[in-house]
Amino acid sequence: MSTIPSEIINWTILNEIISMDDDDSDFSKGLIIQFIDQAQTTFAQMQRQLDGEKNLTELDNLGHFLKGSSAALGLQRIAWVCERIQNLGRKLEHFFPNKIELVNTLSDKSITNGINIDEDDEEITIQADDKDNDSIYLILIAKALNQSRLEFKLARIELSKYYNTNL
Amino acid sequence: MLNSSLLWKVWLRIDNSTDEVNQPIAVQFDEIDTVDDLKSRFFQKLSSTRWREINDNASIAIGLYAPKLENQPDNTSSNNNSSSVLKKNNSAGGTGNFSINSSSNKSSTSSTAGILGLPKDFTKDRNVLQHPKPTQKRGGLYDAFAVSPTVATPMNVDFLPSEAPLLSPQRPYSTSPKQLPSTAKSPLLRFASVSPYPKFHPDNQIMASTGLTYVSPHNKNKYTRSLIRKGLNYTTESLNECTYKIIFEPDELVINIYKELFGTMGSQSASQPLLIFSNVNLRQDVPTLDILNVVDYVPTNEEISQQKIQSTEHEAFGIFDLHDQVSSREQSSKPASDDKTDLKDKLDSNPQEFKLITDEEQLRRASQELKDEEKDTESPWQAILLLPKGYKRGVGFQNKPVLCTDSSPINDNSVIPSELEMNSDSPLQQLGPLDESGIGVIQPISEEQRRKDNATPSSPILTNSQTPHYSNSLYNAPFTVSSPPDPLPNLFTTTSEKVFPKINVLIVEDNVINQAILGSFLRKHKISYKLAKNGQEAVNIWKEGGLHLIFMDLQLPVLSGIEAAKQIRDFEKQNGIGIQKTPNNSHYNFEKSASKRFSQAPVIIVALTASNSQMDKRKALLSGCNDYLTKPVNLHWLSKKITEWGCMQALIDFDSWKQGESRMTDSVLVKSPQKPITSPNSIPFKQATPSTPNKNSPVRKNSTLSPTQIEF
Repeated sequence: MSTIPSEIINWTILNEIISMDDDDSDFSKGLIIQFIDQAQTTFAQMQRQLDGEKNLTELDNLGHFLKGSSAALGLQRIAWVCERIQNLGRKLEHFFPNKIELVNTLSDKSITNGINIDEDDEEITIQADDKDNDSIYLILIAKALNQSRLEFKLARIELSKYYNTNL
Repeated sequence: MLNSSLLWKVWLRIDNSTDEVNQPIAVQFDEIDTVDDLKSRFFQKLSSTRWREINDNASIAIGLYAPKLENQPDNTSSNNNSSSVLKKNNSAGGTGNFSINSSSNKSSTSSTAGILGLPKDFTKDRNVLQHPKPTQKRGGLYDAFAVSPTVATPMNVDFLPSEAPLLSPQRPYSTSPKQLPSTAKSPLLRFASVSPYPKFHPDNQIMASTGLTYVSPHNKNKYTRSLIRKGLNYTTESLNECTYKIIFEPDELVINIYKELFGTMGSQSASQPLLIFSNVNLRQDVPTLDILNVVDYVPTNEEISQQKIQSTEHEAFGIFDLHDQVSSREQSSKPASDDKTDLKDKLDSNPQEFKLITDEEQLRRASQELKDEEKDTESPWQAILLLPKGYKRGVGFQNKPVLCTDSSPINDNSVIPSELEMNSDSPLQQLGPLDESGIGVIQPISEEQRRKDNATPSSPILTNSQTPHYSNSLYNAPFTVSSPPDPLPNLFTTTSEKVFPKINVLIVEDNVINQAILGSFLRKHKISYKLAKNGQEAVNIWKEGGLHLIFMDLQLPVLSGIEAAKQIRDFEKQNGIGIQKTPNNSHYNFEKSASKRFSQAPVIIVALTASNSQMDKRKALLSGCNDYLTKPVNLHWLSKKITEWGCMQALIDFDSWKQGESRMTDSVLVKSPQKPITSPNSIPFKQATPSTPNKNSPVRKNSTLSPTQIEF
């Protein structure tokens, strides 16, 4: 497992997108807004999987899906967490760091000031069961999902700053 | 007899210990052939069967079953059997009258020693010994063999069978539609009642009167015995209390055995086959059911008609006579004495089970025969099985192959279809791969034709479109830069003057954000593109043609990028796309390269791997992708890549690149009226294109950009 990037946004990547704003001034902003919507939808789908079907493959696909768009926009911490979800869904990884550790990796921890980092957490209700191989991964994915919500919130704050608007 | 003019053949059948039915097989032999040679011939006959593969000359033996004689001192069996004598007069094959005595004695002690009791008891009535001269002893041996497993046949042997007719446990045929052996009368003949093949043929019943002198093999050991008269060399092997196996020595002449057992050449019928014993260890593995199918021998019409002439009492083959089976089963439980004559009648009337009917005339005759017979012989069980023309496989009847070959002693002039021929007739093979003409593989002819057209002073590219073999509609359809959400409507507009038609890209990406980013990027570079949400869409759009480059995300819903790439590559392979048929059309000759429109180039597929996983990259390359990009795609790098790939396409297929036209699959579409492989979506796509070539189209004039003019 790679380490989570310390920067929320990879500006090299996002600037490439923004550079295309020449023809279409709101192009990049439109993409960000689209992404915010997409991320929320995907989080909800992941939560439904955790609460209901508990289908690891589906969680893998959802993680992959959101990873693609977040990485394309340079939202690298979200992408990193999504990759963890993807790998947990494939049972390629067996661990997910605690939230506090991950928050501590932020280069600018001040961004977390004023927000409750546990605010959006869903309670993890999955019971670990030795007989059920999947449950440990479901628990870890639930943990990662909470992390991704936090990262999403942080990214929103960053992007809102950049676009000088409340995204 | 006709036989003298025909090839010599002997009927052989693989003996096996299972319930499976084996088909007797006629094998030709020569005067000088030994048993060993006969084995070789048999193998030849069965070449390409599985049985052949698990047996070799050393592991098989030819022989037959014979009952032990009753009077054996060693005989310890206490079975009491009623004795039955079955006698048939038959003129078929000209062998003369034979009577068969299958005898079982109520008590083993009651029977007279050495005589089997049978011949004595019944010969008076039955003309037992009327067999033509050389066949007297053969009757005994044959009986032993034909009835062997089941009945103690009356053999004129020095020793009587120790046991009354018992069935050989080895041959419990249970479901055979075949006629019952005459021995069915014996209550002990359980196997016989269900034997798939008639143990006795009325035509060929051989009297077991005299001639065999072998000592009863009460020992488990093998004894080499000689038949008294002919001095046949064989070994016997005791199988159980009542039967033993006679195995002929490998160097014994087949002709001697034949004469000894059956008499004059041609006397043997298919129902009296010699048995092929395979190695005991292998026996249970022998897939006899499969091998010994009818495929090995299908009588011709001539043969059939010959048989009709010859054996007038033969019923139509190919007509199943269940009645016989059933009745004989019933009868097998009756005391033999009660219905000797009944059984005899049955045998007389139903000597054959099958007949191959190949035309209407035969069918009519056969059904008439059936009708007639039903009146006479209360056998309501017959049926005519209609098979598709050319059907040569066995007919499944109670899971057994039933197309029976005729037992006619003559024949073998027939051409016996080889297994290969059979297979080529198999309906499965007629469902070949896609009809290539249906999907429009480029015809070589068009090349010359097109060159002629190119000789005109005007632009060779334009004249290309005049090729008579192809509709020009798609070639005249300019590719325009299209807007991302719906590229198709704009695709064929004529507002293409400022368009760079260079390459056409397909973006396969399920995430709308990534679609938007890539699409925007391509739009900015004035590269026309289409979008696909999943692998299946990608394949469908690709089939519509015109694509030079595909950006393929790998993890996609419905059909993964890996799978889509594989499908595209497979399809290209099937259609010869990417195979350089005209190597002389190299890129340095741009005039000639116009012809490359017809030498199709494969699409370039670039995998977009979201992860850095080496696995994904390897899988992507293995599936047919040319390259991969790791997401998030570096757009600067991507633009270089597109230039690279675009130039590559220009080199590969300059002409269409130059015109910005679809090349490979477009021609496929145009050529194939039915478009069997394209998605329904492609129909409007195609119809929207201009249908008449226009040499003066501005698009054409514009399309003379050199590769260096392309802008990225």
